[in-house]
Amino acid sequence: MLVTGKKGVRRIVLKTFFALPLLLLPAGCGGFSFQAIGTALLQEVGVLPGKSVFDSAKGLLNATRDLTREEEYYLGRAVSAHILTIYPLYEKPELTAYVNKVGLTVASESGLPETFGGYHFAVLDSDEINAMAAPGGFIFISRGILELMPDEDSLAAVLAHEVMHVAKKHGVAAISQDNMTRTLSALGTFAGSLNCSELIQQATTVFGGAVKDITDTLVTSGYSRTQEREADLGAVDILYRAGYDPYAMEVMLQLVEGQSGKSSGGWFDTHPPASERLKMVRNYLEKKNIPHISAGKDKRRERFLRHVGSVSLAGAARSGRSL
Amino acid sequence: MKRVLFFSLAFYLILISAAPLPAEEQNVGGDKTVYVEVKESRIRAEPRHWAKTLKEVHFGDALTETGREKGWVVVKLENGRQGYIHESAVTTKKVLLKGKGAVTGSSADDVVLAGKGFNKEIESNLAEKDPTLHYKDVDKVEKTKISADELKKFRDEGKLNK
Repeated sequence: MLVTGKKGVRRIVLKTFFALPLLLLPAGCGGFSFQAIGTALLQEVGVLPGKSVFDSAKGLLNATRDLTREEEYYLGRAVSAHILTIYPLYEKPELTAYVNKVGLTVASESGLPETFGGYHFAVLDSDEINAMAAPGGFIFISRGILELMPDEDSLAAVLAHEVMHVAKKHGVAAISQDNMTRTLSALGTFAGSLNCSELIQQATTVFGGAVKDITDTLVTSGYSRTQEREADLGAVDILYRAGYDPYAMEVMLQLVEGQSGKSSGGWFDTHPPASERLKMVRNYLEKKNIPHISAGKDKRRERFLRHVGSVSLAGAARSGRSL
Repeated sequence: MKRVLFFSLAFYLILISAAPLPAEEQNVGGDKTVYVEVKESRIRAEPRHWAKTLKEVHFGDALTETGREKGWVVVKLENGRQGYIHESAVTTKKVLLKGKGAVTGSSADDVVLAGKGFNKEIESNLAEKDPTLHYKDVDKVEKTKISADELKKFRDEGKLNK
């Protein structure tokens, strides 16, 4: 039906002027406040600097690095909850406290010493040689890899490697582009809502997809070679800054290499071959002319054996090593 | 028509008057405001992780930044004293806590919406959908706490972080 006459024109003008702000509201239940509408309008006409709500919505769909620290924490909790369905906790409070002290010492020298909920380290009751890091700073090492270690500096090397995965957000980067787009789209809608239960369900489903992507990477496929390289070389730098012997990374990789063929699963499935990593770390140590650090090493080894003691002795006996 | 235009203009003037200040706040003298972006952290007497704690701070707390030193944010405390907090613990984006103000930032780049998106509610929903998830064990993992004094003693004994 065509609109004609002054009354018709007036109706159109009225509708347009009053409907315009509603076009700026995001879909879903609830929406932004009138304050935000006012700001958005001023930005649209160029009176106020900054992006408009449309740009904000597009910005929310920008992949990979737009999760908040709090969201990474909840992602990390969910990934950890998955990991702990596969591997039980090795619940020895003194050992766990000791591993946390080493871990927090290396984390303080990383590019991300503070995460939303803080770094937490735990030992998994598994013979596999394995270590994993979930977003937000949840780091797990297996009893199997602890048994392989001769001293605290080796433990620090493995934990520093895992801390690097957290600091560089490799876990978050493991979320597929599809899942990330769905995630951020859901978050964008959800953030504007007032607790609509259907949006919570939608966000939960999407959240579950993101968690699965990360868990699959940690447990099955592993990170990319580039990410593993970043973690290995970053760990060498962390060890040096923390006062641990940076060559402990080389020692640890030699031990893992020695186990390949005898062991399977865990690190062997999710990491590049130890021989390849060893070569790269050795080149880096030589190129950067990084010195050995021996100060305090004996004292650290003593306390390592005191805390890790029976775990380490059992492992050494099984593999025929002497400590 | 004139009346229509007049009332429309009045409507927009009301909206404009409700528009907030831009999200990034600048204090007098060029000091900036930063916000704590982690659950809890510490302002320290020196730019080192094991230096003496001057004050504990929590998610959303606003701090007055007066400068930066090698990855540490120099902040001014209420008593006029100077302290340090690591830059990984803070953000220049305003942290809006649940129930404390509407979204007033000019864009998603300027605010952190606390409690929105992946949060405790989503976690509870996920746990309900999949009861095999071991969230109780995750809680156990988080329960292990090492105090700043214990950590300092650990480092000193091991001749670390020198």
